[in-house]
Amino acid sequence: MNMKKLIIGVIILIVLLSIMSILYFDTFNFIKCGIGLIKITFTDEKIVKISDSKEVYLSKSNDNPQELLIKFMESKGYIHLESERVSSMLVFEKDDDVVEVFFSVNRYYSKWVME
Amino acid sequence: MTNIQYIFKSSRYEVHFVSLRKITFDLKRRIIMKKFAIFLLILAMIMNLGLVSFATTSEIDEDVEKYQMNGSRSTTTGKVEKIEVENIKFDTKLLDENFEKNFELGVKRDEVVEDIINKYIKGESKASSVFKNDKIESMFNIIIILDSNKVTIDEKHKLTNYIFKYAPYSDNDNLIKYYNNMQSNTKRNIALVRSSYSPTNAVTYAHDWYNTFNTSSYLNVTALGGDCANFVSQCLVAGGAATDTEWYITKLNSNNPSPQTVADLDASWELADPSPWISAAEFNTYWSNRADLTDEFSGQYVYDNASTVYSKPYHKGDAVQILKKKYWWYEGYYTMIITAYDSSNSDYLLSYHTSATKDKSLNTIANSYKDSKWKFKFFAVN
Repeated sequence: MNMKKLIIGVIILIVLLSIMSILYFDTFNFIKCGIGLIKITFTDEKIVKISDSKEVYLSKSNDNPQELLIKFMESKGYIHLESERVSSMLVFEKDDDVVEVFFSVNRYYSKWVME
Repeated sequence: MTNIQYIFKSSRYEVHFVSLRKITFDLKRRIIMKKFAIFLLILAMIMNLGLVSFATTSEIDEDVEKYQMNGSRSTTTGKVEKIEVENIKFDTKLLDENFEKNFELGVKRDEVVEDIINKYIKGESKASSVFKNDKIESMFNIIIILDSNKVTIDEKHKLTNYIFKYAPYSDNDNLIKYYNNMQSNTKRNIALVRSSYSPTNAVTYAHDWYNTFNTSSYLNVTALGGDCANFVSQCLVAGGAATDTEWYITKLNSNNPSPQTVADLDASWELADPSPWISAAEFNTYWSNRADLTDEFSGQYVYDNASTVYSKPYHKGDAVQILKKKYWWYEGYYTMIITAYDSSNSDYLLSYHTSATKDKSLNTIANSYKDSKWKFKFFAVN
């Protein structure tokens, strides 16, 4: 009986953490989110990738995160199309590949969601 | 035997206590249950690792889309109806509370209208009655009152809103004709029907500052995710929309007119956290509760049905948002303000920040947002 309760509890916890993760970080993988947040907060690492299927990055928010994003994309060979920007969506181009990055920032981290 | 007795504690199997076959069956059942629980656990972990692609809620979306295509209102009543269509389990208690709150508010507004009618026409007005015929009779009385030009601007605003609210559903040709006529007039003479909020001032501010930043009074948050909501908030305040404990901004010093980090922002500005003043997502949540009226349409619908959208009771000085789909719900993504009309094409013209734009056609904007992941939401500002 205890085993059953334990399993149900673990499942509920996983589901709750996944929901929180999707709400705040656009990915179900709360483990990667947690590791990413720890890295951003407690180490010198400036940018952490927390999802591969839908590319999501976290970066430090106390170091001009927008400029950091532009430099990061430029380092990957993309050009920032400033005129194409719409609100929090920054547009980058490399050859024929156009990437839209949804950028948000709060006092703990900056989140970049690439589509 | 003790163990077996424990297994058979369940009332369902008590009668078969002596049957060894049943004992075996129950043991198997328990093993299967355990295996199933472990399977669920593994499944949840796989889901979490992103190894399984999730089924989309496309069918639900189609229902919603169809519903939106009918031009439904996002009032609380509308939401309840929408949930019936979607058949999704929501917090019904919360919905019920909101519905009751809005219903009471609606009744109170109708009672105010009732008092105004009674003031000008002798007799017992039934404007707050729930019966359709009473509403129709009240609307005809309102028309008489409005035609007499005796009412104050504030009273005119309240009476006009009553007709806007009920006439489209009256099934009365004369009232619908009057409503349509009033809508086109209202677009030209909006200042007459808005008492506290001045769309003219909001539009003037938007035209003055659409391509620059008023950093002497406000901030520029382009580096923190875009300036669109901040700009529209400024326009609404210029029009006379009252700030409150949630939607406000206070300048602490002039050190950071264009903050590059949240620390810069905190050092020079005081805002709610999270703030509907600068965040499009929060702006949507806040103004959905505060606006007199809101409407949501898919981008495709806005593009295909420009004249229908234009006939809705939204005017200069009202806010328009583009919502972006985030899994199965939509979030405020981009905020704009109606600053002019193109009546020949039945089109609203919008101004906004990031990127600086003045009087751009809604239809042209909608053309770029026809994908189902986008929606347009209108807010009648008060």
